Amino acid sequence: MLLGMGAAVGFISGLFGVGGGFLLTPLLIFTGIPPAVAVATVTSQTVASSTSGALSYWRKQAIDLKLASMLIAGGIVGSSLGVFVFRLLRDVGQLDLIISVSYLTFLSSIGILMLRESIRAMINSREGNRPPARMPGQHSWVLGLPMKMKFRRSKLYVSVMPVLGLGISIGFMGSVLGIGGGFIMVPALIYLLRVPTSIVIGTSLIYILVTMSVATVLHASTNQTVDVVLALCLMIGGVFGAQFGAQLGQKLRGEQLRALLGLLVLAVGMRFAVNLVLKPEELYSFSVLRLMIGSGG
Amino acid sequence: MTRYLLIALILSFVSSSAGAESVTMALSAERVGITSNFSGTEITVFGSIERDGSTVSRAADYDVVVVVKGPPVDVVTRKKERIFGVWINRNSRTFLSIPSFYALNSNRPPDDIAQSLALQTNQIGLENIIFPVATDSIEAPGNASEFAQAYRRLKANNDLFSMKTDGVEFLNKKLFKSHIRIPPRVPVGTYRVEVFIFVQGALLAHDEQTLWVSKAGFEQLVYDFSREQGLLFGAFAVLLAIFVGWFGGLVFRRE
Repeated sequence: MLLGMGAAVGFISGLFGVGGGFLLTPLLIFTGIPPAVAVATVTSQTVASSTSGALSYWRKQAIDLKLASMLIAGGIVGSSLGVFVFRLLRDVGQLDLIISVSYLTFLSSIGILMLRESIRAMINSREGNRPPARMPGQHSWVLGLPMKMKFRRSKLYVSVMPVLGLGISIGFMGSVLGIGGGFIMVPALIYLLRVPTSIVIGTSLIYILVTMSVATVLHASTNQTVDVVLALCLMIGGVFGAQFGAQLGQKLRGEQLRALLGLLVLAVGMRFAVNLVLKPEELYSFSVLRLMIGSGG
Repeated sequence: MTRYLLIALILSFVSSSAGAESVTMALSAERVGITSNFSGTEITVFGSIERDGSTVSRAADYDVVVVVKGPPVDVVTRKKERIFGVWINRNSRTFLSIPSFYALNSNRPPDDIAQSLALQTNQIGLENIIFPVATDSIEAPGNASEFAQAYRRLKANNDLFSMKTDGVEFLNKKLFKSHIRIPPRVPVGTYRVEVFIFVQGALLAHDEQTLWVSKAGFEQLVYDFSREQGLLFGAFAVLLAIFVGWFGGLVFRRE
């Protein structure tokens, strides 16, 4: 069952070219795995799914190491913060709620954005219009912030502040929600920092690999919620599923693919909404603070 | 001389009324190992009621209650309430040192066996489990019983709290056995198996034994590792992930 789930999500991630954590974590939660375990376990699965990609980009040298290390520095701070907050929320019993609400807002906004964009693209291509070219050379104010740094590989000279900020916020989200964040990192690097597209994916993969590794170790040591058997099933399923997904993905058209993914993301988001609003069958829950293994009852 | 005789007589009378019956018990297994394909098991409790020669035979039959208690836990029980249309954990109650597992087997309903006071003092029956509330918590004071009730219900849903009022079988008048179901997903730790012998509502004898429930084999290894060496365990998980990712990439690159 778990292998199948890993394979299904791996298939989707290969098909759409996304990491899949933001679908895998909800899927695990919906099948009844405690959110805390789902998040921490998917974090380790994300490491596996980003490794093979990161390696192949490494071989092609399509990575800006300096940019990646700055992002990672932020990512480590962000994910440490995330795991700490995760622990805090768990102790006060509001972790499940925060995870659900975050996923709801996050998936529905992304789903809507994707749908809108892909429908527009479909209409455009039907009418024979070419997509409007982006205006080159237009710099966003964030790049003009102080503490400028040269990133030779990306041919950039920008402030480190947005770079660190990006690393911190995606690292934070990643460790609280169990997502790699590639699908936010990639557009952010392209549109915000204007990193050349050829380097973006490799750099983002390296970032995910390192940040999620750190998050996994932190989750395991502070929350003890990494289920390694579950993780292994998901990893194996994911690695295989991704290959078949990628093969099919090449046969489908981009806009349709994105519309499909948008719908899927939106549906998962709505499912969280339903769960939050519907009266739960069981109002009560309990969590064990301390199990006294040694002393008899 | 007559004084000593009198004392001896009184002593013998006291001892015969207090300790006339005793119970000897044995478990079919003293250890339960949870392996990765563990789907529950059954422990049989055997018991023999003994009487010394001086006791008069009793007209009424014996009643037997077998209680198995799992390792104690501190637990916080929470209740969801609707706030702005969304169901949110609101009130909570923290209980200290309550059983994580409770199974009761008896030859007839405990309420028929003894008066409620005797059942309460020995915590016989799900309703008689004591739920001590943590006093130093910031939780609003108030009724804890609904939270205790919820804990019982949630545990019962997973077969971790159970009562079987026809669960004790007499092989003859003094020999009995009882099958205790150990369901999957039982908590690990030291369990206590208790046997109570009643006659006409009076507790005559009591005995107890320890039962160990632990993870076994690979499961044990992983479980201990994750609890005791969280940091190393995390590092191991990462290495495993990198290996699987690398290996997967290798396999599919050839094709």
